[in-house]
Amino acid sequence: MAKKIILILLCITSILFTGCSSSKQVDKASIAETVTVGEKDGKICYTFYLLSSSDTPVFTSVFADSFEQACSKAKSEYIPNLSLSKVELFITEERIMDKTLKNDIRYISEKPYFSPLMYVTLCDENLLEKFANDKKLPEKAEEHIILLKNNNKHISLNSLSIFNNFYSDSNKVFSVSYINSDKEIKAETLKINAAK
Amino acid sequence: MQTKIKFPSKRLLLLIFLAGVSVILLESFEIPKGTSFLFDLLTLISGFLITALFFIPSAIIKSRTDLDFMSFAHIKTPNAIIFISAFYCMYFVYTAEYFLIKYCDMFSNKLNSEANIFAVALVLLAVCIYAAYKGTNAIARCSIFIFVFSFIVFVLIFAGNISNLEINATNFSFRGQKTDFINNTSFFLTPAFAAVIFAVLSGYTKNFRPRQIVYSIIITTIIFALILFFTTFALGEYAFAQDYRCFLLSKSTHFGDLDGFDSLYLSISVLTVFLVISLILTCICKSTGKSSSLPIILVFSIIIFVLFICANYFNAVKELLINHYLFNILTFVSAVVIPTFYLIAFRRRLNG
Repeated sequence: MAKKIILILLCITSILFTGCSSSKQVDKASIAETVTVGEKDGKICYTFYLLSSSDTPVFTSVFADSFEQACSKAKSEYIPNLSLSKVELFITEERIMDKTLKNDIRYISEKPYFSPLMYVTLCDENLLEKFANDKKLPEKAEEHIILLKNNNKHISLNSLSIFNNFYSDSNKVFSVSYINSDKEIKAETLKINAAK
Repeated sequence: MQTKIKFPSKRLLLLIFLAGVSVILLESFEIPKGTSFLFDLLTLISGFLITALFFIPSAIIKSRTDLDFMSFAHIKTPNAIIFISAFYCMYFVYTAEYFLIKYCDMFSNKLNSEANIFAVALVLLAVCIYAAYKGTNAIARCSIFIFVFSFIVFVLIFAGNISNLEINATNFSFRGQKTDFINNTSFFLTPAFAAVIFAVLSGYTKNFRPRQIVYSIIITTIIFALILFFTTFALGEYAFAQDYRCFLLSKSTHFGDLDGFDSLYLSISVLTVFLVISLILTCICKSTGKSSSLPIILVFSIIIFVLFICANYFNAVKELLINHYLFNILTFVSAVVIPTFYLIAFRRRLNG
């Protein structure tokens, strides 16, 4: 019996060793949940929305040419303890999509800490301003994306699916979600060209 | 600490199955990009057919004499056993190194790049030393729990990826080069090291039936084929964006809002590597003629650790230690050439 208990304890310890190694202390870590990509004064701006208990959104904006550059800049200059493993939503403004989206998706796919199931969507230029004022908006956007997924099975919603459409030979045009914020936010379908 | 009571052969085969699975869990980039699913499946089957052949000499010795190969060699050639022991000890040190380096690479790439991998290797070796000291029977008992846990994890990973599946006809075409065939078959032949473990440890088991080996190989083949199927059709091109496709597969697992089962993948990979290295340490003991000896286990563990440090400082040493072609050649010599030589040389006295 003692042997069995020791063996079970050894197995449980090995599981715990692997599960907790990437942990960060919550009070010190800055956990990004949503990343938006927009344009300000003609420059591309990446905004990291952080998990916080305050009523208003907590975010940091970084001017960069790519998500890779934005991540390294954000970590070195603004948020040293930035954790990107919990990013659930990556939103790019439609008008700058051609400049950034394909490279950003490649960068996301190459880093093990990003989830392949992270929602990736496009939006209009007004939505990002609204994100800065309403903390619950990312959550609402996600709900609309899930609703859209239930109605349209062929839509590419996550980084895994969008990467495969961009980098496989078979698809040239594919559908992604697009958040429209004219009156109230609503998820729609937008066709984009994989070659761009 | 090794008891003289024999345990069922099924348990050893269960261990061997889990040891074989560790190969694909620690797989990084061995399968080339330009090949189709059907081509990979064919190489998988050919690799495992050859693996099955590797088991034949030791299975004959076991079924005819109820002895493992080392005991058989010790009885038949007591004067030459020192050379045989030395070769098998060297082979097992190489195998332990192969898995230790691959596991630590995976740990540093996927889990924690800032962790000191020497400390990780030391902790893993310390646990394996304890398990090896307890003997094969204790490790085999532990394998029952690990098998149940791995079974649940694989079911979760496969079930959670069903919604990601996108079956396309292009992967059902037959696409691949001759060099890809050799490379893939060689990779799928890597689990054949289990045949050497079987050759050395089968003496501790009773109720051996050759079909147990067949079942064990078939189950390992099915697991490999399922991983291959899901990485091809659920991950697609994404599978080549990073190393360790099984890790990616576990990350893309989801049930509704619940996603990311990578910690479960990391758990089974550490558990299977723990089993492999523990088994190898017991094999080393057996090769030296002792059933379980702490000084021998400690000495060889120190050799393995020192070699691991060398491999991390000298890239040429590392490349040599994780070369699966060399590994397969050494496995072929250990599992086929030497036991077959004994079978032929002592065929008349095989039942004696």
